[in-house]
Amino acid sequence: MADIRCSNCGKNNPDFLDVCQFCQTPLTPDAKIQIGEGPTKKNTGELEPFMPQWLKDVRQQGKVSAEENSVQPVTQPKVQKNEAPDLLAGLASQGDDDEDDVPDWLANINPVIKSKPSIPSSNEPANDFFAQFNKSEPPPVVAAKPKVDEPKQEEKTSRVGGVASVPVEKDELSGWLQGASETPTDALAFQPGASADDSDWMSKFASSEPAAGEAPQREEKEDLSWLHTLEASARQSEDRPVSGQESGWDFGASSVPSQSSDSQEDLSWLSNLGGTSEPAQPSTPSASSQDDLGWLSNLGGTSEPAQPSTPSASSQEDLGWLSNFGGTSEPVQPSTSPASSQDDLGWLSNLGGTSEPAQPSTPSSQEDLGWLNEFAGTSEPASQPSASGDLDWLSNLGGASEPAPQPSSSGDSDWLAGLGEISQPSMPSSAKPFGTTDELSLPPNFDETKGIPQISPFMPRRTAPLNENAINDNMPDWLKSATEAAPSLPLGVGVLDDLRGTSSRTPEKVTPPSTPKPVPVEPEVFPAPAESRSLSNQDVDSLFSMDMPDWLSQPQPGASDADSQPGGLSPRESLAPVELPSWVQAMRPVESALSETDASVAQDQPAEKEGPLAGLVGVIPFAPIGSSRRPKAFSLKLQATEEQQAEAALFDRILAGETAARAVSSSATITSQRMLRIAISAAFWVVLGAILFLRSQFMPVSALLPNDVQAVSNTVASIPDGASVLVVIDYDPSLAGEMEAVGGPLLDQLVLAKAPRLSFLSTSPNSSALADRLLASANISKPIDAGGLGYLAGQKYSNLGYLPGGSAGILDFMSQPDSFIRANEFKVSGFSGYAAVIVLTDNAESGRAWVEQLHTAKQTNPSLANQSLILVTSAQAGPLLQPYVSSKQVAGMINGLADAARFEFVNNSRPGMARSYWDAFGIGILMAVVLIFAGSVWNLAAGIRARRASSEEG
Amino acid sequence: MQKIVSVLSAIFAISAGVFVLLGYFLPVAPFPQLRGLLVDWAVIIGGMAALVGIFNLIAVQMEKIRTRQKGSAYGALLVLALIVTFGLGLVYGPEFPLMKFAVDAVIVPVEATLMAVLAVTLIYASVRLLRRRVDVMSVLFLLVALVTLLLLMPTPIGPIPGDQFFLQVIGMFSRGGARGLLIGIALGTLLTGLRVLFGADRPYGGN
Repeated sequence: MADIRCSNCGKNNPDFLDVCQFCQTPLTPDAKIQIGEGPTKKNTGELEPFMPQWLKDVRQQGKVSAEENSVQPVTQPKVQKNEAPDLLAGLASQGDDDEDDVPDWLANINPVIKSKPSIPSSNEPANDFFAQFNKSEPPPVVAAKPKVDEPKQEEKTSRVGGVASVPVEKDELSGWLQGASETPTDALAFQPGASADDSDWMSKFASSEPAAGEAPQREEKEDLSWLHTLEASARQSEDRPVSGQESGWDFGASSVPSQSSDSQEDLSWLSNLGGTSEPAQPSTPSASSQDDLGWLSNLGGTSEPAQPSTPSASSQEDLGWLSNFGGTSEPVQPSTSPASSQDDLGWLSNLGGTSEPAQPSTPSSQEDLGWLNEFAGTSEPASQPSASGDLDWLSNLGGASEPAPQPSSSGDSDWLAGLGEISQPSMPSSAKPFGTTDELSLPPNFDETKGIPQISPFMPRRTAPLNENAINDNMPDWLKSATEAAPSLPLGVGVLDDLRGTSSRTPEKVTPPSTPKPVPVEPEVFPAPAESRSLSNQDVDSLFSMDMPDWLSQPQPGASDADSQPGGLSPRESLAPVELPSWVQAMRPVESALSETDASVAQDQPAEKEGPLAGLVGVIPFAPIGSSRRPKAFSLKLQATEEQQAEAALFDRILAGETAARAVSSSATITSQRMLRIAISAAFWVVLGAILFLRSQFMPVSALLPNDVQAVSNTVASIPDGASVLVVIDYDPSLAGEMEAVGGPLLDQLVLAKAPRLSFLSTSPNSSALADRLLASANISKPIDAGGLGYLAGQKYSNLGYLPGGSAGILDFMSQPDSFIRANEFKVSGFSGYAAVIVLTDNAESGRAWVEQLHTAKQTNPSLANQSLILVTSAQAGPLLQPYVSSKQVAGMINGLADAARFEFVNNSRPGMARSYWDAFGIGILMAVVLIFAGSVWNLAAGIRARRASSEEG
Repeated sequence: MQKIVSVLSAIFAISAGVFVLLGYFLPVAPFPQLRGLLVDWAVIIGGMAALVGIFNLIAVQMEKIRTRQKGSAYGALLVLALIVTFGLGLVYGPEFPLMKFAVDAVIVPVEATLMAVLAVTLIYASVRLLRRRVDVMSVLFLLVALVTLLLLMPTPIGPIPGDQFFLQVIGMFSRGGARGLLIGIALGTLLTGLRVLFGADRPYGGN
């Protein structure tokens, strides 16, 4: 089996290990996680048995607190999730949404506000590691004061200790903290004596490393590596002279933003680190301090400006990724909500394993620092007038070298202010172990009114040594146990992952929290307890440098070089953000900020390369949000398929064809047609002319009269002799030849038989001149000597002329016929004076008018009942007047030459006109039939042939 | 002004139609007399319209003669014959023998000739019918025409046996069609008269 040499510690490890069993450094490149990569979850359930006891206690306490919280849910109002409009707000919001992604073990460590019961701190177990931070030893005076004077502070809960500022708590460090903050109005006047004991042990936080040996340091790296960063920062300030105020744990000086703007600024980044970014300076927030540590304020997720005396609102909005990092992302309600302080840094309170009940009824302005108070072991920060200066000590914790220039009203947290400071001149060059009483003790002659130069948070701080009393009296149990316990075998990263994984499991048996065992004070405050694993410097660095982009690793432009540079830290101890253990990866804000569903998407997203978000991946969603979505770009080029283009071309051709001139048909066709017409005319002319000229009568005439013709003959027979007969001539000269041949036999028979007085009337202008022609053609007007009937005009017949008005004229004539008759001999006594009315017409319209008017007159005038109406029509008008004949409105009708020839034949062939036309008529019809038939057949064949030819051609 | 004229025209036209209509259905004085008077006025107006048409004809033909267009000689002859006939008619009346001669010698032969030309044209069209249009209706039209002519045609052998039967059969269709035409004409006339009476149609202008 080959061994792999660790690149960090130089020790050999089995090849099946991914990380060094000594320093937990990844051995294989695959195990190393680069910045921007998503953490890979691992099953660490098999490492459950190796979980340290303190961590188990933490989990148990978390469970207990969760159960208690479920019992008293009303006391913990739900915290609103109002996010500050900062750049990293998306991370926080996503973290809120992805609370399920937070490992359970971390969720148990972190104080979930909902699950924190409002129980007194006395019930909390003190046997775990971080629980000892929660222990407070409030002085009797100070302990009672928060309840009365500043109830708002009580509802604030600390994140580290998970202990709300409950006055009944008896934490180890609460005494000095209470002393430091007992004078809210005079917070700047730091009371060193009151907080000396408490602050001494905190000085060990910064000075633990030098006193501790090398081996224990590495053993403790896994659990508390981030605290080593604090230690490292303290070492950077070894060479700097630190004033007594700086060297002391002047947390209060920097934690009271309302009175000390500088201290606020220095520590505001840690405020945000805990999830709150509002320093909440009531009066005048210092811009310079914000410049120094504003980047770390953003690190907390929000960069809101200070808001005076509104701690609740600020604490709500300060939730950054570190809040999620702590496991709680719920913002805190304004002062009315007791859980507001818990939201900010309560996760750190639970980090200590104790779930202190929140004080719902006493919202305090020191919400943000409550966890640190408990983290230091004091449960009750003294009543602070300032609202948001509670986290300023963490500014120094992060390396800010700012001495609290102002005397601070932030007395309760002043002991923490110097946690991260390095430039204390009184401090020895080597930081003392964290937890020593020397470090935690505040100088007795501490005067915060002295101006203290601001130091960048990156400046390592030199912490004050803790005095021996603090070690013995104020040393938290967990710290004692940590120092007393022998270092165990180092646990790898996987083990911690398993711890994380197993912590999420519900323990089968919830054991009551045991009292913490006294632990011998070790030089290092944060070395892991006996069962804890060693922490490598790299891990410690990586804890804070995880996923930190370069811009975070670098100081603000306003920060001094001395503050920004690690100074006394070796390159190995400096921030190494490249390789991170998996459990740290799991704690990164990336996991909490990005949902699993977006993980793959986030990988595709480019990392920010510049600006405050440089180095972060997928912070700015690549997908458009809301109305910012740009309209889809459309191409202006027409996208037409080939088929569409072909159709368009065809359409163009059609349009072009419409305007093109068509070829005129050839004139040859016209000539042939004309010749055909001429030929037809010539044929008829010749044949019919010959027949007429020859007076041929070879066509026999039938003697059988049709019924209508026979009725005419009968009607004529019924006319009295010498009676007046009205003859209406209503045909055009063009049909005079036909009408004379048709009407001649009737008039001849009538004159011969009855010798009536004929009155000719015409409703057509041209017809009035045809009466004489008719009588002459029928040989009626001819003298008897000439073979005629001797009817003379004015004696036997009278031409009444033209009757205008159509139907109205006819009706008028029927009503008053005498008004139209000028000759007295032809006057009649009314229309009934006419024995018969003979209408000779080639127009169906005129014949209809006479029929209708006369029929109507007969209905109104009974004298007209015996008056007969005879129609003599041309062949073309006969069919239209046939209905009147059929309806007996007309006595009889002679239609065309065929009926006239028969009637004439019956009338002894008088006058013979019909018979003279009969042969020509027959021949002409025959020729027409032959021509039509022959021509139709010919043209039909020609058309078929032409269509075949055209079909063959095209 | 134009609107007033339009309204007045409509009023006169409608009132005249109403009075004539009342003269038909109410033989009570003065409606029949009023009807006769209005009809006479209409005849006079119609005669004047004929004179206006004749005047327009003379003007067009005179323009042809003046511009010496093609056929201006026929135009001159037309104008001359019109003036003579019109003058003789005004002076001697229609019963004047010269007027009768003009009708017998000119009008009747000319119109009869036109009818002969029409007969030839119809025959020619029937011959060419199947050349341009070959369908059932064309063929049916030709067949009916040929059969009718054959039945009406006097033959040397006398009437075709059964000609009366076939003529009655053919007469059924012709009579049916004729009655349909008459009914249509009557309805059309009725509607036209009503539209004129109600002013919907204003052939006299004013629309």
